Amino acid sequence: MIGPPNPVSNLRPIIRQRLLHETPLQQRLRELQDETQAWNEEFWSEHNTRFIKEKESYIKSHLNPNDERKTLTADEMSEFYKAFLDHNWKTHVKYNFEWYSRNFTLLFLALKVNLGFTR
Amino acid sequence: MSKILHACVRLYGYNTSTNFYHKPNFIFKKYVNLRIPIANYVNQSNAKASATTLDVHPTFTSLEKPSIAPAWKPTPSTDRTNLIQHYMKLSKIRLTALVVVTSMAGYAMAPSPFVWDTFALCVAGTGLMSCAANAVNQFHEVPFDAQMSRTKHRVLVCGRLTPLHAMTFAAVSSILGTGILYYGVNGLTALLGLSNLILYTSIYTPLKRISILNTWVGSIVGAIPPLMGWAACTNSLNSGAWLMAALLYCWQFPHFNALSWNLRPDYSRAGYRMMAVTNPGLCRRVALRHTVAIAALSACAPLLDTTNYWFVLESAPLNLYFIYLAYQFYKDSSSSSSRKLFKYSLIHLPVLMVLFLINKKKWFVFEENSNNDIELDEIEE
Repeated sequence: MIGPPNPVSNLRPIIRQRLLHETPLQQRLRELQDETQAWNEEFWSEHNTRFIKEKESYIKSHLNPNDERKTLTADEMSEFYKAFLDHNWKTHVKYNFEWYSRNFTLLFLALKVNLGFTR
Repeated sequence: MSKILHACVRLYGYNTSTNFYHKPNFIFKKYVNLRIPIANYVNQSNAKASATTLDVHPTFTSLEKPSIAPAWKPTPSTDRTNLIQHYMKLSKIRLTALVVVTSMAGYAMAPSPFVWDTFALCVAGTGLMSCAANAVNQFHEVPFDAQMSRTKHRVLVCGRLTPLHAMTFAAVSSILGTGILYYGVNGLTALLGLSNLILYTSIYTPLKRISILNTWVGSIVGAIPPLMGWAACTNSLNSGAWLMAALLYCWQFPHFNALSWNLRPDYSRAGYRMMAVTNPGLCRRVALRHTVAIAALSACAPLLDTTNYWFVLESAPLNLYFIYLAYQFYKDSSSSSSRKLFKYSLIHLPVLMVLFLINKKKWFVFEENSNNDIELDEIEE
C-alpha cells in the first residue's frame, strides 16, 4: 500500500507485504526496499528542514531594514537559491551516486524475483 | 424441480454478494462492469419474471469510483483499466508527440521521394524511442520528482506501476523502436535514435544534478529527431538536415529557460542545477541570444536550398515576435513574461515546421510508366 506524501520529506510511505514463505531473494529485496525507503526519507526530511530554516533566516536577515513587505522579490530570493545549491552540491552528488546504485540494485533484484529465482 | 430452482437461487445467491465481474479492460474505460441478476425461471417455464430484483452490495452504492480518492492505495495499482493511461503518462505522451512531429518534419523536408511505409516506420520508431527515454528518466528521478509540485503526480512517484514494470516497458519499447528503425528504415536512423536515447538517459539525466551544462546537452537531445527523420528519407545528412537540427537546438533554450524560470524554488529544493537558479542573468541572455539565432538560421534556409525565398518572409513575423517576447523576458524577467515566452514557444515550433513544409524547395513525385520503370519527376515550386 502506498500512502499520502510525508509533509516534510515529500515521499510517499510504502507498506509492503511479507509473504509467509518467502524465498531468501524476496526477503533481500523487501529488506533493501524498506532500507532504501528509510534512507531516502531521512535524507529528504533533513534536507528539506534545512532548506526551510535557511530560507527563513535569509528572509529575516534581508527584511530588517525595510519592514513594510513580508516576502522578498524573486531576484533577491534567487541569490539564496543559488547559494543553497552551491553549498549542497557535494551532498547532492554523493546522494545521486548512492541513489542510482541502490535503484539499479533494487531493479535487478526485482527482476530476479520476478523471473522466479530463489537466491 | 424445486431442487434445480434452489440450486439456481443458491448460485445466484452466491453471485449476488459480488455484483461485478472483472473483465480485463486494457482500453479507455473508467467504469466498473456490473452484472445484475434476474430471476431465471418462473413456474417451471423459461419465461423470465416480470419483476426483477437488484441485489446491490450494501457498501457499493454507485457505479462510479468514489469521488474522494482514498489516501492509501494499493501499489502497484490494481486497476487494470488504467494501464494504457499509465503508459502514456510514463512516456510523457505530449512531449513524445512533439518529438515525433519534428521527426516527421525532418522526413518531409528531406530531398528524397516520400515513401509512406518508411515514413510510418520512422514515426513509429521515433515515438517508441522517445517513450523509452522518458520512462527511464522517470525511473531515475522518483525522489526528485516527489519534491517538485510540477512532477509529484507522476506514475512512479504515486506508485501506480512498479519501477521494474516501468523499466520493462522502457526496455521493450526501446528494443522494438531500434528494431523498427534498423530493419524498417535504415541503420543511420537507428544509430541516431539509439544514441539519442543513451544521451538523454545516461548523460542528461545525471548531469541535471551536477552542472548547468545539462541544458546544452538536453538541447542536442531535442535537435536529433529531425536528423532522424531526414536520415530516414535520404540515408544521409546534408546541410538542410543540420540546419533543421540547429533550429531545434536553438529553440530548446527559450523554451526551457522560460519554463524553468517560474520553478526556481522547486528546482533549488530538489537539487537540480539549472541556469534559472544558479545564473539567472545567463538564463535570460541565452534565451534572447538563441531566439535571434533562430531568426538568423531561418533566413539562411533558402541559401542552403532547403526552402524557397518566401519562407524568409513568412517566418519573419513569427521569429520577430519570438525575439520580442524573449527581449521582454530579458528586460522584465517576471513570471508573466516567462510564461508568455514558454506558451509562445509551444506554438512557434509547430508553425515553423508547417512553414518549412509549405515552402519546401523541391517536391519529388513518383510516376510509373507502362514499362514499370519508376521515373522521378521534379516539380519546382
